[in-house]
Amino acid sequence: MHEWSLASSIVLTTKKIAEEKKVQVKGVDIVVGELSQIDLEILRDALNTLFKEELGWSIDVRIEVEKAKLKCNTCGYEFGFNEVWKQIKEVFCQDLEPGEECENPIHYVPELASSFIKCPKCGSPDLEIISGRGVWIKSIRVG
Amino acid sequence: MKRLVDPRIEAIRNRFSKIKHTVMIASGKGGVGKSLIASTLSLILSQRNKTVGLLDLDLHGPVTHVLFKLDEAELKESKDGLIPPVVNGVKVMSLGLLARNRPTPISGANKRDAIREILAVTRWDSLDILVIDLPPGTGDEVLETVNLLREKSSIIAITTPSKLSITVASRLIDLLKAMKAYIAGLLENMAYLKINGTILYPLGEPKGIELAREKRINYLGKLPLDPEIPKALEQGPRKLVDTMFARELARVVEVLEGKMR
Ligand SMILES: Nc1ncnc2c1ncn2[C@@H]1O[C@H](COP(=O)(O)OP(=O)(O)O)[C@@H](O)[C@H]1O
Ligand SMILES: [Mg+2]
Ligand SMILES: [Zn+2]
Repeated sequence: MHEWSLASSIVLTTKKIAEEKKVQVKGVDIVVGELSQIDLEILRDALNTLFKEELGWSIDVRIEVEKAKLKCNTCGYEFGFNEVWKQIKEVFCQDLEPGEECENPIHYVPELASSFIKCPKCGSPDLEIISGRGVWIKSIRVG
Repeated sequence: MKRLVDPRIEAIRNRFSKIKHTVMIASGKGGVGKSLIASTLSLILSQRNKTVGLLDLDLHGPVTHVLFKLDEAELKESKDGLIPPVVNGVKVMSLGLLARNRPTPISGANKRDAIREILAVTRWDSLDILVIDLPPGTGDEVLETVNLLREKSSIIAITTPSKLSITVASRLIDLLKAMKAYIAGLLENMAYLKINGTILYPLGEPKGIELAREKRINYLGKLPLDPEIPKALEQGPRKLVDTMFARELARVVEVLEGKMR
């Protein structure tokens, strides 16, 4: 998983904005798309650590998750990640022990989902991601 | 929900700050030799002891795939992103590698995100040069790549002497100029065929030089249509860099060196 590199780019970006706007940052609100399959605790730790060690900031970090919604371009059906999770597990984690993490490339490039999953209704691979991809900064709270 | 700030932009800037030169291989249409040129170019540079990366953004690039044996290559995950495998001395990354060689039916709206993501997660570390094999045309992937990397990269436009190729190359060059991208020059592939000392022009007489003049860009030269290529691709990189095609491309590299951003 790449929580640390994500955290590092969030820290870099926040620093840049703070410098540009000449503000003191009190907190950041991060949104994490469900497709990124980020471990929120690791991300939070990484953010707190990096803000502290790289910038000397102790700030309030809030993280929320945006649910994934995919849409089939063939039949129009809209569905969530939970409806196709089984398909992903079949490709990548067939002999996984319970509790083990299912490593798959979708967390790096969510657009690759259509290489591994098909529409649960009609079986088409022509899928579009409507929401729940990536990680972004929703807002920066200043003092 | 609105994405106020995309942290990938800063991540990409940070990654590319360790790359001295980025060269993108572009063309208006497919089948003109972009992938062959990008692959051979990266091998030539690597032979000259440069640290080289090859990023294949053309999802349908069998040349890169075959030559760098991407079926067997494996990406390594690290805390700080994906580490591309080193094949034949070149660090190689492609979406195909991530997709485990499955088809990648990415719809138009999602293509830009996929490009951003791959640029943000790939950990090249320090490179002398990164060669990017762009998809043909002027679609989302090309626009996004150029937009993100414009400031630090040079583009080589590829054409063949065929009329259709020249026409689409002309349009591509106009578009790149309008985007304020830096075009290092035009390179004419399959420009001639040399058989027993006789020169033939199976795709028509080379016209690239006229196009370059009209567009006021450098003309980087001509590459032969080389009958040895299919066999060389089968035999692997050492044979490929020993072809007439590669020797002519090596001369282009000399010219290019002074023209890179
Ligand atoms: N100069 C050349 N001589 C011989 N074969 C070539 C030459 N340039 C390209 N080819 C072959 O033509 C085909 C298309 O080239 P490719 O690099 O895949 O084009 P593109 O990436 O622009 O679609 C490939 O099979 C390639 O090996
Ligand atoms: Mg190609
Ligand atoms: Zn469907």
